[in-house]
Amino acid sequence: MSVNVTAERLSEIVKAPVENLFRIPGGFSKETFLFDALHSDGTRESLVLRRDLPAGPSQTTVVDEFVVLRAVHRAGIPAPEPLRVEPDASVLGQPFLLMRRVAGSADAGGKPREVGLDLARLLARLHSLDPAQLDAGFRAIPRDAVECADLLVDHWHTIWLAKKLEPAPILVRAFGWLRANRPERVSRISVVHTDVGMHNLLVQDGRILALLDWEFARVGDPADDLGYARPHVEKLIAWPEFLAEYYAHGGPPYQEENARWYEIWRSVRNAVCCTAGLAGFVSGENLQVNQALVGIGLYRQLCAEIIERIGREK
Amino acid sequence: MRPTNSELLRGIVHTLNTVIMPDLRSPWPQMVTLMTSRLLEHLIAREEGLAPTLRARIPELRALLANVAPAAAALEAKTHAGDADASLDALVREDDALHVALEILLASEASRAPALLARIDALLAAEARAEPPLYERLVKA
Repeated sequence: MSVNVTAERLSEIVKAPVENLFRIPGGFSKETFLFDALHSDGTRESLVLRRDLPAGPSQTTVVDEFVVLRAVHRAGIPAPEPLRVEPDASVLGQPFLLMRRVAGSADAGGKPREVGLDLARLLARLHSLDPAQLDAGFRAIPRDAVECADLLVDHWHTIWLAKKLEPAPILVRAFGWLRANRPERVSRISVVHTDVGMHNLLVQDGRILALLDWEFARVGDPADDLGYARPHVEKLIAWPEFLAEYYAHGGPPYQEENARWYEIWRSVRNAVCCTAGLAGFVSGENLQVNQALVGIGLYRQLCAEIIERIGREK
Repeated sequence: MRPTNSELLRGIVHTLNTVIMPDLRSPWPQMVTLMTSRLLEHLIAREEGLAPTLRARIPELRALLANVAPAAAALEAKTHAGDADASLDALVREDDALHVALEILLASEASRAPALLARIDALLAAEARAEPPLYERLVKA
């Protein structure tokens, strides 16, 4: 069921008049809307609504993300405060979550070093949380490096087999490579966000106010986060300085060989997401053209990157 | 038939870019219109570039699969690569069948041989490098 998000519908949901409704362009796995709720006591509350897509490419749901967000927010990680989750798709067409809007922008704003150091501290804190104590609804807590890798590869391989539309020898090759080259050691089993970059940070005056988009968060190898964040970090601060701050605040040793495995894994996961989005487009469940665009164009680019990286790892 | 599909699509892209886009004020419709325009450009690229791409790579796939037992069945059907009258559908079907054979080969014991795996990797990398003219407009959106 396709339901448009309008100020009228949102007013019914938040039980207050709604103004300044704005759909954020971009984002292929969820829809995100900003708006203000005007309460009867005269206060204005800036909110964010994040809604699942039908046949969403990431194969994740805001219902799970809400639980993670609540747990990390309570644990003191800078993340938006989640306010409500609605798993019933009949309310707004798809499950959605509401969270409080955080100020700031995805821009270091002339203070790159401060932001880089703050990111090091943030990741050190995240990677120091005890996943078993967090009550974040994680489906699995792997025991070692091999299990970290196997859980991911098995999960995404299953999705790929269910969604693939055409032969893709590069992905067969890639899944085989991932299984044959799993990391053998992990410095710590941690909560990982897996999409840490400036695009998911809200920054103000050199401080990170929020890390956004927790849909892929899970328990795994911190090298996954560090390897992904590194190109973003190196635009802000030298990598050794970042790592020194990360270690000073309790972060586990960075394992570069693991990070390289996760780099290939991430491209494979994203290629599977593209496949799943395209499958939703082809089936008619989600006819938004962005799914076709990503499912064709980005998918091909990722496949090219995957086979090139596997070639480099030999 | 004139105009050709490509000629018609170019006109539609032109209209989207020069009439519709400049009048849109909201970022989401702007982005969706841009993506629609890029998808139409991709259709033009497919119309003009897919058949030559397939004609070039089908013989290379066949050559790789020719001497490997798990993939040999895929080679029984006659090839369309050199047939100037072959339809795009026929070329796509043949290309897909050869790629399925390659998937089977990759899942087999035979692909453990380093020399064969290196050939497969080289072929897949070459295929990936040859494709951007078909897809680059989508990536740039």
